[in-house]
Amino acid sequence: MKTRSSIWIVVGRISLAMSAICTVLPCQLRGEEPADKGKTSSLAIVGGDIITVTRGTIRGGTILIEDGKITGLGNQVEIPAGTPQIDATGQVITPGFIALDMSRVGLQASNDSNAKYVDGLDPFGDNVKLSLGVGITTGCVAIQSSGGRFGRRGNEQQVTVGEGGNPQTPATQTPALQTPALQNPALQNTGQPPAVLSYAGDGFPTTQRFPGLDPDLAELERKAQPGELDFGEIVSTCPCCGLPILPTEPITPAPPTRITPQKNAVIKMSYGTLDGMLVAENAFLDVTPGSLQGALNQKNWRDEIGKARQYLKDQAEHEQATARGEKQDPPKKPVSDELIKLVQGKIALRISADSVSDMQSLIGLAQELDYRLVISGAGESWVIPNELAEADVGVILTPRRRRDPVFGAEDRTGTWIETTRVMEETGVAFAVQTLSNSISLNGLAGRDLTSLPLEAAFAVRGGASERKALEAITIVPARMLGLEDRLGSLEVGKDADLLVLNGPPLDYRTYVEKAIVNGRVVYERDQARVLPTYQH
Amino acid sequence: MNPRNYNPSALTLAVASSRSFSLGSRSLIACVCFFVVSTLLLNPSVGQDAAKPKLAIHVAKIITSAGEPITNGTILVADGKIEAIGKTKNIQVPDGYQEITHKFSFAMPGLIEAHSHVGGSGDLNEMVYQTNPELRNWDQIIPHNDDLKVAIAGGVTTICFIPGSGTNMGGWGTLMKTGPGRPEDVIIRAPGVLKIAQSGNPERRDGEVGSGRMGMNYVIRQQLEEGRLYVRQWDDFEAGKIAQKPKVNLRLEYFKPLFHREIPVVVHTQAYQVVQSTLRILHDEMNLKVVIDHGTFDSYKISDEILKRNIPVMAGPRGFRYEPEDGQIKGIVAEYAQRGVEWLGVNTDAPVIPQEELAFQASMAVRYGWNEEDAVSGITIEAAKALMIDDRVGSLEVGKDADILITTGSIIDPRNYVKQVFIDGVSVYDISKDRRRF
Repeated sequence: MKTRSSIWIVVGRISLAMSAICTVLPCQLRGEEPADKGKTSSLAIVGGDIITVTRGTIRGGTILIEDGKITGLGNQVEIPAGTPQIDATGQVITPGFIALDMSRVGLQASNDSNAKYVDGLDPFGDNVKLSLGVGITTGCVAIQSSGGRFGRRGNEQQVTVGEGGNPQTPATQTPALQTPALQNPALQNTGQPPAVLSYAGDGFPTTQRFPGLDPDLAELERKAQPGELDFGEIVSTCPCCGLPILPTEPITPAPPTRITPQKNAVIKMSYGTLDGMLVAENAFLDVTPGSLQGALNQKNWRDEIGKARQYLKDQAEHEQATARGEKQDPPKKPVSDELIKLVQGKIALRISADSVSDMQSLIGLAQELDYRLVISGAGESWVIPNELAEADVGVILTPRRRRDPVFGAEDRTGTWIETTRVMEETGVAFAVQTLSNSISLNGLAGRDLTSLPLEAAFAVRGGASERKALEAITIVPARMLGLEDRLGSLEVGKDADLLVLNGPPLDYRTYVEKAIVNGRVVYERDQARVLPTYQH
Repeated sequence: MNPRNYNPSALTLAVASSRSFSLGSRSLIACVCFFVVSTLLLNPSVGQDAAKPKLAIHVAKIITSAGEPITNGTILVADGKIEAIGKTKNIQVPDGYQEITHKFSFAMPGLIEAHSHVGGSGDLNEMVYQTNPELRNWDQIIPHNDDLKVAIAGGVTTICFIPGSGTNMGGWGTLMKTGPGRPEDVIIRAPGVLKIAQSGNPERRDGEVGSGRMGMNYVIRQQLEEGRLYVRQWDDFEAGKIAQKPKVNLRLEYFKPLFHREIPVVVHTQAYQVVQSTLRILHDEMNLKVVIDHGTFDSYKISDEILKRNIPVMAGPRGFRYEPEDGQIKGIVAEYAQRGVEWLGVNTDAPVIPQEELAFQASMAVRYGWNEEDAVSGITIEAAKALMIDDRVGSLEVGKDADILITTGSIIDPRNYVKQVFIDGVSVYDISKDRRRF
């Protein structure tokens, strides 16, 4: 087990080292600063219509960038002599988009607690380039999460085998689903990256209600390793969804699940360089929906939060005592760092919930225990907008996602296309995320991460204003991540992450002509040629 | 043209219902109804036409899918059909017409889905035999079901509801409207199409013939040959060329309209080599009306052969192909269009892509390089022509079914939405009264 993760890390390190050598070596040999350092340190973009998001729109304005930050913005910006310029006349400039839920883009880190995210960064990934192609410059990447949030088998979670052969399973996994994976030797000691028990990772945005429909299923099954499809002891297969039916176990109240946050990291799509790629580690406290459901779990959660608060108190006392010169052992950390950050208010709890009752229970806990809450999915949020607004809870919506209403309760259940309008009118901060959280090249268009601005267009379809819809993929996610001082809008002093677009940002025909991250041009459509280059 | 009677004389259960079950422009004398169940449903005496309102619909712009758009236009609807269409100033609204004004909105024809599986119950595959010409799916349609209600809100008024691709010949599909009503109200044509699946799903895995493309093409060809022989015998008999009356074979009866080229075969075919065999077997050898109903992956590379045969491509549900050689994303429809193919549309393969997102499939095709106006035609009149129902639906023209969408702008832009939908001249969705569904 140890070898597997270390092999993986070593490979990553070698490739990173190689790339670092390739870029740095020639300059070092000549004993100079890297040649492009001067080039990227300042840049002026002139003539474009600048949608700042937080400071209105500037027609034909100039953005001056120095050392990766915006240092000038407006119609009367003095450009120092010798500053390289980009003419954006007739084009639209917006902040780079922020994707709150990404998977398998730019970062390949294992759930191994010893692994450092920085070792898993991959600034040359094709997915990084494709993300830039649709304007995503920053993303919150889930560590080792499959793209199966709305995957082909519904809300499937994956089971990975982590260090020491212990399965690191999401808390909602039933024991019945876990056990076969444990018993299956094919999932262990393969020397491969952690095995994935589901094949939900294709970002396939449909549930398999109609078996035999999907032309790819046969292909997939053929390709899958035998072990990946083996659920162990299977009674039969569900005739509706094709999922294996496992032996029934006696239903007993599940013990409270340990709060194991799912890891994530905020990275920039700084294509080609590691500099400034990793922005933040664990910018959300992500927990699985099940871990806060039910009396036992909620009690457990209250205890954990209480421990975190107590620890902060103890630590403050310890510091005071130390300051007084008393010798004392520091308090032992009883919970994870993320939980401590949560009670400190540094990060928000992000958890997915759709039904009104689930959301109300989460809102209640957040108010009682006093932490920031962001609800992802939030299918029925249109039913309780005022409760969300009063509790200052943000929601992450996928406007066109369909969750069917309960028959006879259509006016208070299920998703509703007009949710975005309701949220805007009630003043609930909403961000937009895509149907699937990875980049898929399987051919289905407009459903994966690359549909982010199009999903925001569906927010407009639902009745939100274009302004709010653009905020939903820029400043609002930045605020949810606690990074609004750096990201999400074009203001002097903020990071120079911006897009030069050939049309309005939420027009389905608009393409990113240039993407600039940390002041560097990292994507040019004509050169990257990943997306069609013809004009409309 | 000798009159063709598909009603086997041995059976007298068939109900003459040429109005609801017309086969293209040439209506059938009688329609085959093998199953007693459906004959009970098909009682033509209970017409709804009397209840249909007379309407005058005024909009800012009419996209007709039959020529140039009309600004400040009016559509007169009577008896479920379009009675007149033109500029508002040129149309006299007769007395007794209910006037509906959408001052800043567009009107356009209802959208047509060329490949759908959500018209009824979801059991789409009978996978005992490899070819199933004895199966038909219009007995299991569920008019105005939950999926179709949302589909209407997405502008879809007609679907080609077909069996799945679990076998090489899934059975006969139904062309139906998405609105409410009895089966005879919503069915445009049944049998509407034949569904053939060539490769990439119907493969057998239990050691029978058909685990590979050779075997699958063999069973398709063999079944069609059997059908063709049967139809030829009946044609010869009816033309007086042979005296011996052929034996009725209910299993092969629906091959008659197929081989008479009155209904098309919609083909689950994708990838260059498979489309090549579609063209050779189904078009060249069998002389069928063919609709390429996936045409994805690298199928566009055979565009010149498709063009030569004038075969429509209703591409989807995949919208793009990632070309591994050059690392580029290529729009499937755009690639066909660039190679000169004009008879193009998109499909959703609902529920693979939700049925209401048909227009969004077109949006993505435009994003990846298709022309927006062609995209509007592609999901209206071009699809109607491909399915051979363009005498009734697909464009706003006098005499056609009044399937009309009122939208806030171009339906191809996902920011726009559908405000009202008329099917057969009846308002079936109206956001001023109904909860918005998409």
